[in-house]
Amino acid sequence: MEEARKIKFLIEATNRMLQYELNGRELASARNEKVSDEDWTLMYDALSDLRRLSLTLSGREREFTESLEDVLSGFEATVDYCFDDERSECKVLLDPPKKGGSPSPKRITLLYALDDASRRLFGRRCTWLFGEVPNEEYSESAFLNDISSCIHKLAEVLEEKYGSFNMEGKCAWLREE
Amino acid sequence: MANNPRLIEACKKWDRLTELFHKLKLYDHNDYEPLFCTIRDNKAEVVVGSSPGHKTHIDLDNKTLEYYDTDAEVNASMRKHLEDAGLSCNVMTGEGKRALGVTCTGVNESNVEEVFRKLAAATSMDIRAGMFEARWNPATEKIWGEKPTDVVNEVCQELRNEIDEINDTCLSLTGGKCFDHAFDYCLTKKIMEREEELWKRLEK
Repeated sequence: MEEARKIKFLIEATNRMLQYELNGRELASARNEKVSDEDWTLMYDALSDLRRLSLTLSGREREFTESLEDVLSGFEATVDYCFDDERSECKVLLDPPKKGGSPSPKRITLLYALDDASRRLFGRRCTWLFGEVPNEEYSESAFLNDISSCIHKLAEVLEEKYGSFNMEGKCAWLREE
Repeated sequence: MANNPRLIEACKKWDRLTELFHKLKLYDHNDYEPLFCTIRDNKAEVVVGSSPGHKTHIDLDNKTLEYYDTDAEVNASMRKHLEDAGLSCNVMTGEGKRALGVTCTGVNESNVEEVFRKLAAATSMDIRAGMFEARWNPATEKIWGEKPTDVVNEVCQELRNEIDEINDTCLSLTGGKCFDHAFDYCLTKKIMEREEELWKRLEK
């Protein structure tokens, strides 16, 4: 990708990631509200962006972005299943995702893989609640919180990539130290 | 090395002028969306359209400008615009006279702002004379999406009323052959000349 196009893409992608983080945290805090279109839209939009983004990255950054993609894909079905249930009642690591369900090895593995990719890139995991609360208690709300935190880490990586530029309107120039 | 402040200011002028063209519906949205410029030291890379490689390199160290475009007519118009800004330009061609772009010399701190402003025309070059009236005709506004504001309509109507004058200028410049891009050259030049007045009206 040409430099100007790439920088523009990274700046816009970072802004969208920060917006996803914000939306994710807002939804996560509304624990007693129902899983809705908002959950689905957030995951769908973030997933679309991550797919484009991973093509511009390489190495551990790409690996981390792809792990995030895998997690969002792997958890999409829980949103469908929990639609109209309270977020705190949607137990996303169980199959089916509600009290009494069996642990979902696939989704648990996806979150472990994401934290492993995070450790390789940042030196520490990016989730906060996964593994800290019992799997049977881990809800849609906890998941949105964790995923927001991981998206924030990705935004930091992107900021580092173009952070050496000032920007005004359609103009960007190398920041002077 | 430090960024050249003249280059940054010139970029901001281009940013503002491209916004005006966009508000006047002279750009396709797909062409406007990717516009972007990066500056390092004395060099700028400007994305001027949506096609891959449709960009411009400006180098104040070597005093050169390279505009890349594979449309021969657009290159002819851009050459004229850039020469109006005081540069010496040549059209680049490849095998079989395939159009490659325009190269210019003579870019310096005094004219770089005007040079950047001329680049705003590069994005509008998809406008053809035949499309001009249709684009600003309220009867076909559905084709172009959102409804233009009253001020935009008013300005566009004025420019439509001046089509004959624009055509006359165009004909005198081209020796009686007002091909589409020559028309575009005349139209974009006119808008550049009236930029501040048009902005004042749009910002009211």
